[in-house]
Amino acid sequence: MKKSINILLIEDNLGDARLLKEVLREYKIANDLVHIDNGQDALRYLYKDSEYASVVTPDLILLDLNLPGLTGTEVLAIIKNDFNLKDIPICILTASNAEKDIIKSYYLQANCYVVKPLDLEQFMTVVNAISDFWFNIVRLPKND
Amino acid sequence: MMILTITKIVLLIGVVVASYLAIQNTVNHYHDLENNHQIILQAEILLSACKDAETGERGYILTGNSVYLEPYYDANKRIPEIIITLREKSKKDPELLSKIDIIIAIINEKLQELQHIVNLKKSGKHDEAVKNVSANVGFSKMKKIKEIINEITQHEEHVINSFKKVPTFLVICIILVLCFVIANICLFTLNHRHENSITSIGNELRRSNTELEQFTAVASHDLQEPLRMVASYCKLLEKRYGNILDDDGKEFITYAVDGATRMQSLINDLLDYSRLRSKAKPFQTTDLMACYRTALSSLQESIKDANIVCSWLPVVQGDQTQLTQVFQNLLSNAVKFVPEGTQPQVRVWAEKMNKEWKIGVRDNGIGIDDKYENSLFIIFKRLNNRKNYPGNGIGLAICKSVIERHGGKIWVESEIDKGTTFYFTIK
Repeated sequence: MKKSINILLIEDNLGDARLLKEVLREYKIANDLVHIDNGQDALRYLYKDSEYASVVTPDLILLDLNLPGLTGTEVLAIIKNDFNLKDIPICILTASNAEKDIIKSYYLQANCYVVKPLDLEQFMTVVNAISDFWFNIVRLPKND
Repeated sequence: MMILTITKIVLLIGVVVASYLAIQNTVNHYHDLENNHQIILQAEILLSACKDAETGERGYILTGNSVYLEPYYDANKRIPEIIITLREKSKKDPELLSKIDIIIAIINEKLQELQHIVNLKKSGKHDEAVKNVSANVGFSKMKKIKEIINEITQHEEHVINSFKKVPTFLVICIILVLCFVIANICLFTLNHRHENSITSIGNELRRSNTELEQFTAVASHDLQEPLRMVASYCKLLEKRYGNILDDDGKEFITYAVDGATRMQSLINDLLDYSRLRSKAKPFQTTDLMACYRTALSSLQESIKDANIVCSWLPVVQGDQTQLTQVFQNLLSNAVKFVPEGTQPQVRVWAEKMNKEWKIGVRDNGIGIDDKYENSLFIIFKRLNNRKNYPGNGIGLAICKSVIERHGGKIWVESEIDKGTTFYFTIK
């Protein structure tokens, strides 16, 4: 059996988070998904701050841009400037189609930018493609 | 702005003219002043000549020495010249002239009297001559001459003083210059206020544009998220629980999904519409024929059965992308609203109308009722059912917005069941 993959989903929309979980379940992708609904807590998670002291560093971060408080773009910039965190692949998963968001995300070293499709089937295809690409096709650095 | 500039120019011209007149006047004024001094001088010379004549005459009478007659003759020669000069210089002043005429008469009498006495003496009638001198007649004439000369001098001095007191035009000129300066300050203040109000309108516009951009951002992200939720969960419901739902349940889900999908497409159209402003490009030389061809090629599939003809279109100043969009929307409508089984016939042409071009797009479609001709261009206005003629009703609203941005007009002429012609004008 394949090793379970650790995903950190930073997403303020509970519906979207649940949908992602459901889609991963539909495709039977072995995963360990942690959902955090804001940027500040997500950073504390990554820095293993207090209650997050014993968490596992994720293999992949799925980041929404439209977050309350600290924005997705700011979270992206902080992670990609952190010596210990910058090697974690970050996939922007957002509803925004705006050209400036796309350009800015890549400029800040996002590893890919995916627009959430409206259609469920397409969403499933996208999630499957992301999982397949990051966990089956590419080689990632070993965490431990 | 224009009016202010014109007012300024008029004022400036006014000041220039006034200054010219003032300078001219001052020059004249100094000429006059010079003239007045000359009159005084000449009057004094006249008096002294008269005195010379009298002194010469008396010297001769007393001594019989003809040496004394020299100043007398000299004065006799000079007096007419002085009088001519004096008259010449006084010709502008009738009061002065009349005084001079009086004095001429007295001087003539005086000279005749002197001549008479000199002649008496010459002819040896010494006693008679002396008697004439002491008759005091000559003395009173001389006194009269002195008085009138005095009057003339005083008159002239008075005129000179009045000149000194009121350099009228100079004062007017200074006042005008002051007026100009004050007016300019006022205009500047007004202008400044004007500019301020323009700046505030500009700020208002910028603010409203920023708001529009924010709206666009909201529409492209925040409005679509909930829709995605509705559509996705309806589908998930159908996928996972479809086998336990009856036909009604499945139909309800279909409508929910359809509603969300349509809402999504309306939002996208609304975004397209708002981008007409935010993504507008500056005008450049644009070949409408190229716009037309691009439109045709992007419509490819939907126009494959249609017969679309266009022989020529002009080159205009405009936004190529937007004008292509106009052709695309008009052509797409032209081939869409055709009764089933009829081949769409579309003709596109251009004609010169005064200084602008009128472009026509004519079809053989179902036509449009007169009463809808105005509401046709309103965003999301649809005249036909979605099932037979799909679309959101944004195409003509976009056309109108684009054509109006280009300073043109768009309108429709149509006859039910015969066809429709859309016209627009462009420079």
